[in-house]
Amino acid sequence: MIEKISFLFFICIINSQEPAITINNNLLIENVTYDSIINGDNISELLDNEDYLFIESSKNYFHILLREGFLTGPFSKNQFAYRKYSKSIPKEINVELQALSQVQMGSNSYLLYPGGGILFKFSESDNSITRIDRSFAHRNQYSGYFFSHGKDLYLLGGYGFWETKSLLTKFNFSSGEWDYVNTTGQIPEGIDQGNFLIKNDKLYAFGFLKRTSNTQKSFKEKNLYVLSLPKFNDLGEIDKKISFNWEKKGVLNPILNDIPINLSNKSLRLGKNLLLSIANNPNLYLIDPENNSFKTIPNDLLLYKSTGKSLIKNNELARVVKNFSTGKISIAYFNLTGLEKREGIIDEYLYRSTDNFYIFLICGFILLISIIIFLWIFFSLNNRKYVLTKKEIIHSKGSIGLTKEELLFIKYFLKEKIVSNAQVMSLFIEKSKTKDYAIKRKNRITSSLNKRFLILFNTNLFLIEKSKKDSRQMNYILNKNIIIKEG
Amino acid sequence: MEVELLVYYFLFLFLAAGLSGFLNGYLNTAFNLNKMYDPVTARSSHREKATRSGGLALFLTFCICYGVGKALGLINVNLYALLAFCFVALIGVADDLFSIKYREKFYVQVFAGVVLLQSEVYINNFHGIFGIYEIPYLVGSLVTIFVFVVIVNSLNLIDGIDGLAALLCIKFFIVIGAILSVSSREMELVVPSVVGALIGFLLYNMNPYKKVFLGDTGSLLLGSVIAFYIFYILDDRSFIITDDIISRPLLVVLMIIYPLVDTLRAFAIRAYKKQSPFVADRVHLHHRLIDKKGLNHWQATLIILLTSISILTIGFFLSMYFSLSLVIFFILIYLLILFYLIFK
Repeated sequence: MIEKISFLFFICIINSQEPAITINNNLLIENVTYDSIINGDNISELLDNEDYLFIESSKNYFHILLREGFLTGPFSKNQFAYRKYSKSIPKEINVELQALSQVQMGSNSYLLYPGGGILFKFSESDNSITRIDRSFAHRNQYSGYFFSHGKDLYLLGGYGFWETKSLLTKFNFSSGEWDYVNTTGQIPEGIDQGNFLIKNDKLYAFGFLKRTSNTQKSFKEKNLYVLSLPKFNDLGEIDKKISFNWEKKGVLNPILNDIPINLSNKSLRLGKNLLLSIANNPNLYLIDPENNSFKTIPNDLLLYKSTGKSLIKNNELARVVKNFSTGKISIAYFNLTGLEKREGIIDEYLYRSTDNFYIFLICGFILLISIIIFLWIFFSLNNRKYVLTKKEIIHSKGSIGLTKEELLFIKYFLKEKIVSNAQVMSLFIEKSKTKDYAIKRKNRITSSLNKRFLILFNTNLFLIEKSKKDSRQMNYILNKNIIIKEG
Repeated sequence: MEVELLVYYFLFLFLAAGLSGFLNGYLNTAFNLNKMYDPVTARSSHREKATRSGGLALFLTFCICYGVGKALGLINVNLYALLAFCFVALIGVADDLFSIKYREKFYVQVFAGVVLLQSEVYINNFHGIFGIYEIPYLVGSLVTIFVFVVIVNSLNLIDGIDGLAALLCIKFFIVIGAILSVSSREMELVVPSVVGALIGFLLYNMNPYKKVFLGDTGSLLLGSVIAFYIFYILDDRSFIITDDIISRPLLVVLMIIYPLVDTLRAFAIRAYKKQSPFVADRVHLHHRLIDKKGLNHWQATLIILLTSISILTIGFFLSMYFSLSLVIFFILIYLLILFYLIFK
């Protein structure tokens, strides 16, 4: 009653100041019936108490629902048509109108009470808001996502009774009750607030909060989830095989994950994409989950400075803007035409998926195999190498201590692979000893060295073969698998 | 994957490999000039002159790569974690140069574990082991420190033959890299830095003329980095892409299966022989392959690496189709078969 009086009082004030409202009952403007016309510049008083609801309409304009009536517009010269409801709004709307969630389905708008359960229908033709459910205030799905698909209304997730919910409920128009819808797949642990987009029978959900128990902190979900919605075949029947299946698509772009959840954040559908405006963030984000595209658009429109509900109609964003110095409220319009073609747009991925994981894993293991092959070749080459020091010959399998003669004998192999018997003999000939003694000593020492090599390294150091030039001459030939280097 | 990111991956991989190659060569020469060789004892698996400068080269490579990444705004690892890595690396350097008592090393490891806890990446959830999920902070902290010491030391213990620790670490970092590629953009370039540094090190580790070992610096540092990423996986606040496929604790165990199994086996044998679990000997599986099977270092390393990869792959694919308990059962059977065929 007080509200009615205050509204009439407001009308009187307006009339006494300027002829902003022209009382022309039941006239038509662009096929809209109205009681009066309000100039857009003078809308401030109507919206001042912030008890209004910006809603879409089936036509080219939008509505602003008030307690006693509603505005429709804007028409040319930024005018709005005001019309009183044909009957008073249901008493169950005991919250600010802004608290209601709205979905447009055909020519009707459906308004959902916070927390779910109570549902109203706003009919443009009847100029009325009526309650259509036979349910009760569930208080179980606050901040849930209220949407329509086909001819059905759904409410997804929300918060209630100290838990975030991931349940999906569907309004049953015949019984007036909300039915539980069974979902399958990778169901999120909770869906509170967040951003949503329905595209080609798929609901994309991201940036929501989750909490599974009263004692747990709320976490912002870092993944993109997709819920497949019913597809209707030619006969209008639902394809049940793929309905209501959740799929986790992958980690969101870090920019999105870093965005704090704030009531001033806005997500609006622009064409087939989602437009995000973030509080205190001078960028707009255009999201196309289907094509894994995430565009950062410099926001010279300063949309984030405006408050309250907003909506996009005909590529134009309408938003309530409050002038904090004068306190005056007006509706600002932002032309979004060509938004995607502006300069300075950064196009990135929206989410990283399991595909990325497998690609990385495969590439990683290809790299590992390459390293193994490379090392194998490297090791095979190195495995042939023996390091000759002043006292021993070293290999990764071990080392052999060398006598002076053995060291000198092996040193021949540093220069050439074939050493003649005469050369080797020169190491053992002593003036005081016979040649036979030298031969025996040479044979004993070289065969002992070869034997030790065979035992430790499993290979001979050298082979003895007849010289091709002179069959009477014997040569010591270094094993092909041995490379000796001085260390 | 974005082209830009791919470029950065290769850039950091080559930067780290090049730096590591240069530093390993430089430090090897410097150590040789100062006659700082790794002593050849009865337990040693090498006979060549070798230096324990690999770890220091790795540490310096990480520092430079991290510095470059941070300056470019591409890498960001928690400062407490970095501090813990530095503590562990420094105790490793001290051990490589002066040989520190095991007890002193242990205390510093515990201290590094406490510092790592401050990064707030820790085991806060058992993910269903023994039916336990979330755990209180104090319990989580104690478990985290215990696991940290176990992992760091198990990496140290497997560093016994050429290439083994480095290649097993590369395998680990490839898997963690795949996980980080979808869950943490700020840490993903750590992976090419580490892998590149290890590639540079391996060229010297396999080189008989300029042989370089990881030393305690390298094995402890790699162990602590691995431990940090394991805590990252086990921290229930982290998003792990494999959650829908494999249980987190099982994934972690499979990723470090060889160090864990080998350490557990070595400790069990030492306990059976009534010896200290920290006594140095040749009871490790890799020593067994060399001493009993007569394989060379490369063959032993390759067998262990491939075995380790096969266990991870089998565990991963089995988890797609079977329950956790069945997967564990199959893996245990597979481990027994492997032990019988390869190590017995």
